[in-house]
Amino acid sequence: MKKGRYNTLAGLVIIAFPLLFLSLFYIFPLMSIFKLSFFSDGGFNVDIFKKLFSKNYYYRVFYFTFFQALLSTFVTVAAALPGAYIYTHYSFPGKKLLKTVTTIPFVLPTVVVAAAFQAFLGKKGVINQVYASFSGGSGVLIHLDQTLWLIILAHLFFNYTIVFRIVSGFWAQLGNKTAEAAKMLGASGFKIFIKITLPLLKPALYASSLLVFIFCFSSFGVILILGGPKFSTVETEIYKQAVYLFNLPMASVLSIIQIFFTFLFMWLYSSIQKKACVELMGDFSVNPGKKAVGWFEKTALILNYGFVLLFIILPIASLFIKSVFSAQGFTFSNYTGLFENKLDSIFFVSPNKAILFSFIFGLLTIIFALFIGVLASFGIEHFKNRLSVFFDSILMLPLTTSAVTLGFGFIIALDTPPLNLRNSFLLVPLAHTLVAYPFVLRSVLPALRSIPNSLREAAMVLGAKPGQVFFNIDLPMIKSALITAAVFAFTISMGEFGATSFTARPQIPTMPVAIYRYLGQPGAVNYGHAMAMSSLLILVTVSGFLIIEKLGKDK
Amino acid sequence: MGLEIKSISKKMDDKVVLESISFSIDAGSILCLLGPSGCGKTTLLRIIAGLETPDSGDVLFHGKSITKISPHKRNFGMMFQDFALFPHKNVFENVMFGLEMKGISKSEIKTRVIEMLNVTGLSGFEKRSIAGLSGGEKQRVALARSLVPQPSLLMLDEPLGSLDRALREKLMVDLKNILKKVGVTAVFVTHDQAEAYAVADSIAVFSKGKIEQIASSQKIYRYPVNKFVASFLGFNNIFPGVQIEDGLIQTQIGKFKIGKLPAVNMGTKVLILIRPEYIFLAESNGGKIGEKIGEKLDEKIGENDDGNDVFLEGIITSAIFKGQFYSVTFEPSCSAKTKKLYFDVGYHLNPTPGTKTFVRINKGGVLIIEDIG
Amino acid sequence: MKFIKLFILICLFTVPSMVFAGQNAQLVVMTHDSFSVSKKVLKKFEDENKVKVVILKAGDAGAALNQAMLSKNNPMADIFFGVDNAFLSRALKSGMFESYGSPKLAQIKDDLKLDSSNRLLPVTFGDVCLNYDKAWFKKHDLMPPSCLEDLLKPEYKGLLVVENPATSSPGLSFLLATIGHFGEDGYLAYWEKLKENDVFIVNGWQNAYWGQFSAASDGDRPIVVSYATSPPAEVYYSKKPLTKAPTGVVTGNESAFRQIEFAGILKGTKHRKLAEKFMDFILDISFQEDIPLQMFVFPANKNARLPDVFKKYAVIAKKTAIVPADLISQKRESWIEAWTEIVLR
Repeated sequence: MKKGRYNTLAGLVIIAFPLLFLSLFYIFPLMSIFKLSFFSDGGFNVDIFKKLFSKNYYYRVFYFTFFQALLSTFVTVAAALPGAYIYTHYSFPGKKLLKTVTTIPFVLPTVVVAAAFQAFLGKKGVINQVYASFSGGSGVLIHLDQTLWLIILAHLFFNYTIVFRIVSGFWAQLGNKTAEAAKMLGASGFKIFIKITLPLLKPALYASSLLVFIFCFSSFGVILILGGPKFSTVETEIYKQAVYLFNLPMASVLSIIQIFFTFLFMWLYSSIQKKACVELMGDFSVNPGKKAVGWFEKTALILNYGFVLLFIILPIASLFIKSVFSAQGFTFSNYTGLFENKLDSIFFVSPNKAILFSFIFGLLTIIFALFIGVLASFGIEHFKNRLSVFFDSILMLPLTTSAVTLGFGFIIALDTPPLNLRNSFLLVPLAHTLVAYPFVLRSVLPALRSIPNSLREAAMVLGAKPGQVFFNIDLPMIKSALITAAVFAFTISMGEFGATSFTARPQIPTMPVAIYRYLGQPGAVNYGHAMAMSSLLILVTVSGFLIIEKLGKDK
Repeated sequence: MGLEIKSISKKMDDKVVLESISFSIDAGSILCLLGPSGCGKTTLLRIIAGLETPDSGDVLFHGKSITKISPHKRNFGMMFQDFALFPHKNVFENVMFGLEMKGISKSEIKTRVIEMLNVTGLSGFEKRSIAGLSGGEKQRVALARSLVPQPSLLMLDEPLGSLDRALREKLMVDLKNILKKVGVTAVFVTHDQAEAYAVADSIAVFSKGKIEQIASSQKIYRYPVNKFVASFLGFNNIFPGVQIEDGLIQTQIGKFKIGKLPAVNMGTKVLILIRPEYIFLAESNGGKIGEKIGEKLDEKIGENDDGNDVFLEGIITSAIFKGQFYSVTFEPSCSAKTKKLYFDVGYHLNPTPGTKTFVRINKGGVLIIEDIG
Repeated sequence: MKFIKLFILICLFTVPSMVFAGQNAQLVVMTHDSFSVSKKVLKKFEDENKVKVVILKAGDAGAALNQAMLSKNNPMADIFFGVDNAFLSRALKSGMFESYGSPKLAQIKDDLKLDSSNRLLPVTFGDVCLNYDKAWFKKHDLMPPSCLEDLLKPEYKGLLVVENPATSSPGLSFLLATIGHFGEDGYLAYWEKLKENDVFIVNGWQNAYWGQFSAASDGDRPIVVSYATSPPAEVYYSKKPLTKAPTGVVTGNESAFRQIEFAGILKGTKHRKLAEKFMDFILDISFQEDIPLQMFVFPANKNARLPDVFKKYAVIAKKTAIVPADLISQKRESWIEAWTEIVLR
């Protein structure tokens, strides 16, 4: 009976707008850049490919890109799996807070995260200082600066929430029944996990691993700042080639290779995810879980808390601490100083203005991204297997494409009216939308797929016109997915820096821009201000998504 | 004339789902589409509702073609197999949905919904959420929702399929009562014959996209036209035979004299059906044991060429206890191949497998069902 | 909740109006993230010429110049501010600037005028050099280094942090300083020895200064590659009033590289007259005197007076390492590649 759902023509009509958006703001700019890179002298420029494949250096870059992404994915999954288990199977104090806290890393600009990690894990960071005070000497317990491990830890910090949410969402839906049946058949706890639970979790595990892998594969800030010059991924290499070496053709070749791989991974991901059908951030408070009993369960619970505390909460907390402590002790001067335009600079950003602008861009991003993401989901839902996976993968590409390449593409592609957006303030929310709508797509599509078609048909037979079906059935049923999608769009817009920094824009500074500006000049005051602004960014973002959730519940 | 289906055909993925279906239903009566799953009955229902379009053919309602009218303009009602209740709305909101879509005033909606909830026995459920309802309650909500806009035709797609047996039996009766009370024309899809008998005025038996037989419930039970219909209605005792003289059919288990014969040529092969309720356990070819009627029985075994009852000798091969009765399998010793008879025996007779015994087949329980050339 | 909705609506309507408010004549200046100017100085120019100056910031210096070059056939601005001497030839070769012999050029220091065709006019300069943590050297009873060669001495082992020339503008300048000082044949040998002496490389200035430099962070490197104007910034932006800069600079013995920042009129401007006026304006005294505290570099105008904090704490190198602009644009990529092979392998 499934047949009735698919309607290729209707799908094409619905998906036309998202595709138009993608073509205008993604494909067209990229093509312009590629054309300029390869065909500027009339003929096709082959040399650059020759150079790429003749140099050992680039092979090393590719190798390292894959290697670190694989390792990061493995570590993230291994760390988040126990957390997801405990989250779905036990009830414990602070459960909701835990979920919120793990989302915060997602919004933080990399430079802030780097500072947080430095403050926490650096040579004079909290851990080493605590160690030194205990050992009495000035010994260094951990030395992670510019090591692979710091990269992996930072990726874990950023992506923990992805695995945690997808897997626990899926786990909650599975319920305990199968595991209980296996127990009746005499399987031990470990055997149950290996033979029953793990295979059942496969779709969620694959889907979340692939997503994490894709993110790590195109990781930029973490590699550049925390990894240091010794580590180079395709993404950082594109940046170097384009911005510092003026070697646009090489940057373009690398971009093409990166897009090719992303498409490949996305294809895999979409095929898997179609089966898994878990909302990326769906509500999963189905099963409240039981209380931990016995020392073993309690220890596991505490260990889990300890893990989240150590790797997620402490780095964030160290930012707040740094913002209120200076060499002179506790002070709010970092915050009050934000309001003073000591130099009378025209670029002075008062925090209320930066917050306002960030908020407005966040709102615009929500509106654009929801519009495009929801249309895209509805369109994809109309296609049969192959076609739906194809459109799904294509539409996900902007998620990983190098900000530099795209930013430069904007400059040469969007230069004639009516598309002369190069110095329009709209360019910022548009760039944010490009990164945000794939998340909307990812959280709305599964929700949409989980609506039984009979509900729509029932409404139709009861006299609802197609529009009424949409507003009375589809929309309310994907509401929770829409709210999470809105949270995502908002969060991404609040923290986004890379894409905007490569697009020329009039001075409407957002909070991350302000943070960068403070960090751009020497002086302890500037550093303090950057920490204060980062803390404000976290607070504003968290309160933003609390408001969105509240608004969603009200309606 | 209410609904008229004119040679509807439909293919899906190059598979024929419906093949030139035609029939009609009188206004106010209940038609049941009965058939195994995958025979196309749900597709036909969806075509009537407008959720699918036929490849060819026409659907007429009150004499007008409605094939090209979209579902929301047909003013039909449909009850889905999974009920398709809107999980984000409560009982009242679910039931009022159709009225809301029609743009009816709030006050009228309220009175009509409350009235319908009364009819369906759901008073006091207005604010309940769908998730908290039992299967039977969901079924009633679904029924109320499809009835309250006063559809000119109601379709029910296996509305009792997902319920347990006891509930199903109770709800069958309720359903029929409600439908009759409202007086709506209804098409009801099921694969369960008991449901069909209980609810329908007439039944159409489906097989592989074709209607095998359409007739009133009683008639279809009494005179199934072919082997498919008969076996789908639960008849197991079907035997091939040949007419050897006028009204006398020779089968592997004996000769049967059939009073009312359709025009069948001498020597043609036919199928005969022996109704289980006409088969009795007998002590000898003189009868007794399972007898109710003390008829005089002194005929030869295996014959009723003079139009009397037939006696068969054989072995009880199995007897399954079913409470009030046993389901018995009996293997007549006269048959060349192992042909079996299936029938029920009162629990007090306590049939034991392996017992050598006789059965008596009442002459009224034998009929020809199909001319197989 | 009504309040929140109202607030959202107001936000959505105010932004466009704030952005597009009061547009008469417009002069667009494209520049990098570090550009800054005081409100009152710019306001004066706007009032006098009845023009609105729109400033487009397009990423760091490299990214901004790149974008300007990409859009040269359909420029997004009338003026570009912020080509440094490492990219000078490249920018001139692209042919995107129009020549303008501003009368104010007379006031500009002669050694800064590298473009004889007057397409790019020098506006600011600053020296990239070693900065050191005074407190650290005092505590460890060690003399700070005085020249590049000192850094190879065993007592300075593990003290220096340097930016990657492939991803950082001061990093590139420092590489150029070593090339200017040791010559094209000598600089790689120097870097090899620096590597043996445990030089630490990071990707950006922020990382070096805020992450590694012991005077500004929790890091443990007391010597960093930064600007000769960093000490006045440290004083100006200190939490409590300072009488001495916490950091010192090493500029002697051709150990610094001078970054000169140029601006020019973009080919295709529709406001040539206004653009000329703006060029005059940025070379003139009021803007030039605004430069030090806004951008923490030196003004190119000889007559510009420096603020006190600069007079007291800023140093101008007497003799910097010199690498001709043509040579830089010709060899930059291969120098960086060679450096990467030696230092990062």
